[in-house]
Amino acid sequence: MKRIIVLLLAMVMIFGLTACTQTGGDESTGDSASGEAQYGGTAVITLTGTYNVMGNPVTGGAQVKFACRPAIETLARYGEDGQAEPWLAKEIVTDPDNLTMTLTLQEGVTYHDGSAFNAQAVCDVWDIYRDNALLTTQFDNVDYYEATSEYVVTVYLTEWNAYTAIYLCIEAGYMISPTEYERVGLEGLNTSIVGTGPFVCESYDVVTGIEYVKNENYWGGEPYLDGINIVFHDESSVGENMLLSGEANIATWLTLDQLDRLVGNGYTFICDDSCMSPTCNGVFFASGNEDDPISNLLVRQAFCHAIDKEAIVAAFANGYGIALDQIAIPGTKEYNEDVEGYDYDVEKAKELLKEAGYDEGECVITFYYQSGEEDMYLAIKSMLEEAGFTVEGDNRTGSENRIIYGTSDPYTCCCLFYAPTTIDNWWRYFSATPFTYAVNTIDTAAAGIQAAYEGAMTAKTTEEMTEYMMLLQELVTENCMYCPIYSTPALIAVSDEKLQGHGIGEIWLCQWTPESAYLVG
Amino acid sequence: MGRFLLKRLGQTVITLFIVSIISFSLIQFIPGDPVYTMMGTDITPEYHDQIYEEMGLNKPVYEQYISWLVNLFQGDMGYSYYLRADVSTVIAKRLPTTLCLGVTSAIVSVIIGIAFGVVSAVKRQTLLDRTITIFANIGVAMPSFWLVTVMVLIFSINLGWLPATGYTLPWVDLAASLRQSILPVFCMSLGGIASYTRQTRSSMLEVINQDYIRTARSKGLKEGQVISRHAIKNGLIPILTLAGTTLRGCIGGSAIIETMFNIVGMGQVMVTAVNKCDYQLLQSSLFFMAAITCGCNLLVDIAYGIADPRVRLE
Repeated sequence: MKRIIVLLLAMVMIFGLTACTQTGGDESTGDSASGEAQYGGTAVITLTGTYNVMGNPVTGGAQVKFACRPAIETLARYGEDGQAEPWLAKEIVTDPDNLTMTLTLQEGVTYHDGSAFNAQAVCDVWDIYRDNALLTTQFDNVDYYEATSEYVVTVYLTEWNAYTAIYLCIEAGYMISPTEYERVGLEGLNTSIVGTGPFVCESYDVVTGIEYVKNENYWGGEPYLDGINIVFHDESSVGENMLLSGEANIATWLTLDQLDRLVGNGYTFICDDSCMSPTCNGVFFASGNEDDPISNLLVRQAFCHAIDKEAIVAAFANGYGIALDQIAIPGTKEYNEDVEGYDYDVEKAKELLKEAGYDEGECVITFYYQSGEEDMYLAIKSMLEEAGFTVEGDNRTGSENRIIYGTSDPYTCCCLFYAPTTIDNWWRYFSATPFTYAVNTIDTAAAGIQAAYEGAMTAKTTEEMTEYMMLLQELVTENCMYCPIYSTPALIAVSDEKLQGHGIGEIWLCQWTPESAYLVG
Repeated sequence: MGRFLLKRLGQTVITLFIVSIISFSLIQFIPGDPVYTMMGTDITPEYHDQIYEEMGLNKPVYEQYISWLVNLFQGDMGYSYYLRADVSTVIAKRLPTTLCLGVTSAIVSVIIGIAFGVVSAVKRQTLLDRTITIFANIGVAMPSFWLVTVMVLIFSINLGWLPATGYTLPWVDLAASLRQSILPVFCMSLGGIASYTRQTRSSMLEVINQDYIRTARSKGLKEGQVISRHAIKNGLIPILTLAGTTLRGCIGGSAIIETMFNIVGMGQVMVTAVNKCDYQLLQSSLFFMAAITCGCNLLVDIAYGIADPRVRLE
């Protein structure tokens, strides 16, 4: 018996030593000291969550658009000024007076399935999006479009919208393969990643991730990397562990706590302050009932004065957030420096409530929150109760929220929101589309808000758009349509600095440059 | 034996039927809209309605149940809308990973656990016995998620000896498979080793004190021969029950281990199915697991009959 045990232990040790001495994974090649671009290696990027629509990015969220980027390109990309810059479309000419937009495409580009990328392909892709109702608002002002030559697409508009180029060339600009769509249909497209990008999808599993290999015939020139692996993981600690153990180069969509730990361990937080669409966290007000307290401007103003934003930033943002007085980040084109917002003043909040006719505890408001938001809800609730509100919490799932907002029954609530801070995005809270966000009882037309928004959206020049944006911020704050609290970085991504030239977190959270990414060291 | 088998098969069918009703009903209580949960909330309402209808969710619950059951008996386990594949394909793809890890950890648990248990029983009241018992108690009490975290921290992050995530099937790359197996198998088997050690020690102690063991010793047999020829066989009969549980665990996988090591096996598939409200995947997987569990129980009962003639006669 003793001999058997000894033999077993010896076998285990031998297996262990054999396995431990194996090395695995791709190593980078070339001169590691210089950091210069060099060829070779496979980058590994982790992504929290699992995703099942990689081949059809317009139906997916930010993570899908991020992960499909090596294979599926857009007609345009965001520039540093937040405007659409040419990419697959090498020239974009807009004519607000004649209501047209003309795209001149890159020539000699082919899809990974061998079909040609040309003007007809662009029209076919837009047809796919429209005919299957995959995108709607992006084509609201589009009358029709046609391939006026092999590489020129002309779009005819019904009315001018300052975001047309962004809507059509970026949001609807994901150039999937129409040939692949014909082959596999709409359902098959979700798992078939075929585009024009610098990398070809070798394998895609909804749960494990995507393996890309170099596209030798890429129109923009040979990429540096041999491949990119995007690893999905449901358990949030997996991405952190992979980075710490050297199995991954970049971990994305982490939590703030993980960011803190990794930065403390010497890793690099790679999201620039200038990266578009940092998340604004706050509360918006929804009321279909004029008699409800939330419909009263004084009550909403009292609400805003009752919130200690700095305390919330300290407690929830781990030092990576800033308190906001509007849904815009200081220094961005949407930010109005003249808007003061509502400072933290409990006595002022009590005064306003009294003025609205509510004594201590009489103002009862309902607060919807979802799982995972309990701590924030409790923090806000305690602040509101200190100012004299009575808060009734209602824990709902996200989809329940949306269903409720879609009904015509009277409803009233406050609700936490996390919004990208670009005007066309956060305006959707207040639009007539009840599907995602609540409709507010504020008469936006009478308040001038509707006109300011439409002015911004139909502006023909950047200066005109800026003017209307500033007015919009002023009116929205004055009428207290929401209570912005703090912002957090657009993308929480951490790098080991071995992967460079990737552009992750520089301009927009979904946008990076796999074609110029390379490994060092 | 034939009558016994028929009776057990009948019980199994009834059990599976009840399990199907319970699992189907419980799934209906999962909160949230399954289509939005699976597809995300960026889809248009029209697309949502189309998928809702395709999934049959607009039909009454009883109709959905009957339809699912009929399809199941025809071999159609349904379609996973989240994973975008047939459920049978999903199971066939994930099962080998779970089986490889599960069987490996089961073998490790059984061999090492029984060995430690026998040694502990034979050397009872010695320092060796006490040491093994203490470690067995620790192994049983230790939560697996904590164990995984500690192992990854030490061996993957600090020492860099072993990978923190992933698994490769042995026939794809044996070296990588071995390397990636060490931590998950260790974490999966530690609890099993502890359980087998304790159970084996307990049953061996009972056997060692029997008259026939005293007789064997008095015949002049060496202690080793007494243990190996007489004690172990009888001492291992209660272990069969534990083996049945281990066998079920091989098929079901460990959701915690698989999730934390990012290994895509049956356990993680079940977790994904619950999180994403993938009704078809969840229902069919649950039924599959229930069927396997009933099958394992049947095998254990048959094994009992073979191992212990007294059970056969009864």
